[in-house]
Amino acid sequence: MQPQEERRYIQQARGDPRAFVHLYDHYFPRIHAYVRYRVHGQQDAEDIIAEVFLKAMRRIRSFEWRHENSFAAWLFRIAHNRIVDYYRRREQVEIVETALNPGTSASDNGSKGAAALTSWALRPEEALTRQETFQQMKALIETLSPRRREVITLRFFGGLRNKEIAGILELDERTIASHLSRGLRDLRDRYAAQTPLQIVEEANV
Amino acid sequence: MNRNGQERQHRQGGTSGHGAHRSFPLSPDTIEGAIVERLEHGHAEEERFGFAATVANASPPVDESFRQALRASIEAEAAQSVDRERRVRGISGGETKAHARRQHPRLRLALGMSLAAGFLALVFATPLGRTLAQSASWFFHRAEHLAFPLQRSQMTTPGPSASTSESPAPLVSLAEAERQAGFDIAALPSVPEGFSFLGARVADGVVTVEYEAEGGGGSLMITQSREGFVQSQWDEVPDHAIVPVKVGELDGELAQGKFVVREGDTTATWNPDVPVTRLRWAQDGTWFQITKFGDVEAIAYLDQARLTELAAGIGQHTAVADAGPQIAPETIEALARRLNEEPDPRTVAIYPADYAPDLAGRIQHDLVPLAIDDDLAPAAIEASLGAALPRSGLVDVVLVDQDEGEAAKRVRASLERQLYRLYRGPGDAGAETFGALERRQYVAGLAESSLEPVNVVFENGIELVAGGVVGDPEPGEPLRLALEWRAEDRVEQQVTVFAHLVCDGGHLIAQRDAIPGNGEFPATSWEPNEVVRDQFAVPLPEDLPVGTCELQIGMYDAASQRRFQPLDLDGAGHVVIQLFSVSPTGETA
Repeated sequence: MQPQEERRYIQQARGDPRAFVHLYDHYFPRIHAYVRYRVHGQQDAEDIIAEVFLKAMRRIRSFEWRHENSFAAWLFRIAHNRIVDYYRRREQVEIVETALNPGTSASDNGSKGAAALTSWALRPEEALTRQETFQQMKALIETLSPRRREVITLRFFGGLRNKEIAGILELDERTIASHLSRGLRDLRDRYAAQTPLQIVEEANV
Repeated sequence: MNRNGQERQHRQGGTSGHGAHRSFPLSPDTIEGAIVERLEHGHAEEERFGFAATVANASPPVDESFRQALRASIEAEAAQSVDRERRVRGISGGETKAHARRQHPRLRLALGMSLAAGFLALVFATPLGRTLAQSASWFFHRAEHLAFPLQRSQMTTPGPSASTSESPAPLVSLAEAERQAGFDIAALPSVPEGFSFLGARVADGVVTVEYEAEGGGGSLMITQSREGFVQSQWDEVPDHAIVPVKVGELDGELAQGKFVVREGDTTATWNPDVPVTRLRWAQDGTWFQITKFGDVEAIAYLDQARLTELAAGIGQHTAVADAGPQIAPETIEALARRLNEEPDPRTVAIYPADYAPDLAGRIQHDLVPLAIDDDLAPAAIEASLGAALPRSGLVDVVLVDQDEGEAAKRVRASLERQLYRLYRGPGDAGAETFGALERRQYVAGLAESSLEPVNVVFENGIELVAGGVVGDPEPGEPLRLALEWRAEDRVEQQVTVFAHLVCDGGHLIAQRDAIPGNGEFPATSWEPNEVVRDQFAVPLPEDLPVGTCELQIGMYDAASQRRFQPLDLDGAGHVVIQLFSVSPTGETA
């Protein structure tokens, strides 16, 4: 979607929310990927994705278009805040569980049960491969520090530039670049340790 | 010798007089732009060809049924919204519209229940359906079973980062919570027996007022939202565990127990004996939940009946009247008098803007009220303040002293990033207080960097990454300085940073000692590898001594006053980051 096209849809959606569906179509893959990487359970992630888009549509009138990336930054800030809130609530549950059940440990309370029926757009074997790749990469990313995890997911799955990530995370742009470089380096090292033959040596990360 | 080597050499402590003067082969804008471009471009290349491409290609597969269901829900809500808007417009004027807007959240939530049966079947098979299923008749979503299976990832004990990687929203005052939430929040008329008041948290439009049991072991939380609550499977309650109650004249539901999971379990199980009691109801378009955690003796009296009584007290909707301190007229007078004594013209900015009328008409300087909107992201605050603040000249900012609200804290931090706090001499904090008000003196100026890399590490691991003078200094005018700091690891020890302008072989012309960010960004709060910018201003005298001046930067332990030595600088105790020469006409170069 071209920036001017996006701007036009935003303006339309302010008067007629039905135009928001174009923005949804465009941003769904990025928001979906970002949230799936940041939240443990698929169902919890889907809850959050739904809330993000519904909230964005309801509040589109409060959004002010400033430049071509401002809408993406705004949308991802909603997603980021919602995920922060998700962890806050989950932590609250864990604290209660721990306090009330000494000697036990609540595990991943924020997610919900087994996945419902799914219908992947890919062929089953492709979906399986994609799922495995995703799970492997997710496990690797979860070994990073929280800050680097956030930067990596916003960059690679949210598709944001360092400047937008800096705005969302309230950090300096160069700090973001540093987290990105070091996060990638760590990921590559750990990935190489798992699959040494698939890694091509690179000079600078 | 390469350029870095040359720079390092001329920054050795006590090197004044060797003739190295301030010189920029590139403009600061160019340098900054080049750095950012390099970083962006470098990553772009990496993403196309390197391991980053592997990362970027590991997108999760999409469940198309979910994607389509959500799309359908968005279309349905949008259509309903348009239809409702048309109907409201057709019925009557503004009052009806306003009423419709107030009722909007409930109508919206009811929407999910009013869709066609076929669509409902699809929707309820998805998590979205559970969110929308918060109907007006049910406050708790009914759990169909007393247990539900966990996913594999849920069956392992999360690592330390899993539960602590995200911080909860900070506790703020009720007034601040109202401001953040954008609606009048309700609170109990008094703190319930056995509890002490903690504060309120606001997250995603949901306000939670928190009380803690005296002595610990329990708490009471009053949660309220204009848009209903997120209903996850963990919030569900089996039908038999729900008790219909009356909260005053209103219907409500009370639930005792909770789904719990223990280590090693593969399912979450409903436990009616967990001392968690929840009561939900709605009033005037606001959804309420009051939750009691724990059963320690101090709060054991609060049984279901008393909890309902307590809720009815909230139901009377006692508006929170906590609009900040009242400022005594004599305080305003003292502040105005002090400002009017200043001979140099300046802009006086005041936050919150509510206090501006008190000062208007009493001062001879321009008065600017500062306001921010609901978005507390730094960029949003910076934009709001930046639009009001002048681009140059002296700026005195008046703040409510000791306001620990989140908005006030962020406004303070933003001011330190946008302006240069003016320190007039040793011991000056750049601020003075008048009763409940605090006056801070700043110099405005563009924030663009003109910093040269320094890259000197001190013995405590803190690195002075870059530093220098911003703009062109003039005798008699404030000299604006900026320093950029970084530490690879968390800093445990508080540090005070000093900046000395020493001229003519040893005369201290200007000085500033402060915690970085003028107290707003202490080293102990830095994230590892975060670059923290510390900027301030010191006035230059009209009669600068002719000769060479040097800008010395160092730091010391605030408690012991012991200086931290810069590594590799032979015990100089400071880093010289810039040299100036002052000509007989008083000009600096």
